[in-house]
Amino acid sequence: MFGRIKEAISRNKKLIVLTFEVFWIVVFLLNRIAGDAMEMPEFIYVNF
Amino acid sequence: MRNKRREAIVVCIATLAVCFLMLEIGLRVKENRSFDISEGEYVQYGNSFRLRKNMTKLNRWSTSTFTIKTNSLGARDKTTGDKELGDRPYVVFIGDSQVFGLGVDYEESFVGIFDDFASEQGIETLNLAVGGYFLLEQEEFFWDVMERLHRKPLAVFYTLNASSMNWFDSEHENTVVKNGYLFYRSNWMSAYVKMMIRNNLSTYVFFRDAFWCIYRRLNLRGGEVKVPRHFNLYSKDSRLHDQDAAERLEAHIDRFQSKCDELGIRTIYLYVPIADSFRIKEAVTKRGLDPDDYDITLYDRFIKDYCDRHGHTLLNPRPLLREYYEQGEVLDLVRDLHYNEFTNRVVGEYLIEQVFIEHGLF
Repeated sequence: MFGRIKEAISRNKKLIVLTFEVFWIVVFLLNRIAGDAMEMPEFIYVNF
Repeated sequence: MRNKRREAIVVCIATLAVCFLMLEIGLRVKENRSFDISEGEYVQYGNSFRLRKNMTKLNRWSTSTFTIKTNSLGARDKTTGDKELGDRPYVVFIGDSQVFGLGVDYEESFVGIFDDFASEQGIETLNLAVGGYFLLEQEEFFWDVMERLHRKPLAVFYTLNASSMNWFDSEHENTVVKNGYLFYRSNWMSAYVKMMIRNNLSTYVFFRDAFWCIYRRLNLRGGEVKVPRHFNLYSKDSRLHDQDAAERLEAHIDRFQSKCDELGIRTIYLYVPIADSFRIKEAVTKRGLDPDDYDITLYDRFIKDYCDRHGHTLLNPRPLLREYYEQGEVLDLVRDLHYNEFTNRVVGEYLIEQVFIEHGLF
């Protein structure tokens, strides 16, 4: 089982790295956009 | 070929799962959050709600971490259990979440700071404020507790703000409590699921906030200008500009005052400005709206005028808070409008000074 997983990982190394990179680039960009434009706060106390 | 593609998809999903897990851990560490599946702080009361009695609830919000304790009356307090008033004189605060001290521990709230000082002077403090309560419900809870306690208080701090004055004749009619949390009856199930996800999945909150932010930006560029709902309290459309509504609010306050007078309870009017009322003009200008369409001190002036005409004591920390705001101090919990620890301390110390020194009320 572990052998098969290992093989699949080495076969798809490029894809893993690409997915990893794209994910963190998206997270980085979203964080910048959201962080730059802090909205006016509102009261938080109910789940309406 | 087919197997290869399937393998690639599985590898991709597995990589994303690992990335999400890393992000979740990172956000949790950053926000100091843990899982929250505990019961909320409310119980159903007719169509409205009350606080659970004798409860200790730790809230870990992204904006703050604080503990709520309630006594046997269902009011926020230092400790759980019976409120031991003995034969000591006591004062009562009524209000909404601002007076309740949502976002900070009791000892850090302005009522808690006042309580600490007053108890050294031999005066007990009872905080009957409940987050989310309209003025009518605040008063109803006060009279209920007065019936249960056999002694009348020295004074009641009748605390008002723009929200409570605007909604002075409203009551909760469609509120349901599930597992201690408040929801609209009509959509409580989906709101409950969303709340559980929100409370327990930081990645969800991260992506939700980011996408909302992009959506709002696109809306702004498209010419649609949105301002937070509570800004309308100060706009030209505010109910208080309507003569009839203003007269009904005054009559409402008169009724409360008369009842207190009959029972010999002194009424101290306390106006607590909403933290971001100081920056509304700046915020609407940024959105391309006319700042002169917003009257920030509308409610302050209304209650000042009322108190001046009737000879009542009014306390309003707005000038003091404005000074701090102009010095660049943050007054709220940043993503939540409730007073932060600093503002609570300022208001608490202001109250002590005004009540015990300036006016010598007790």
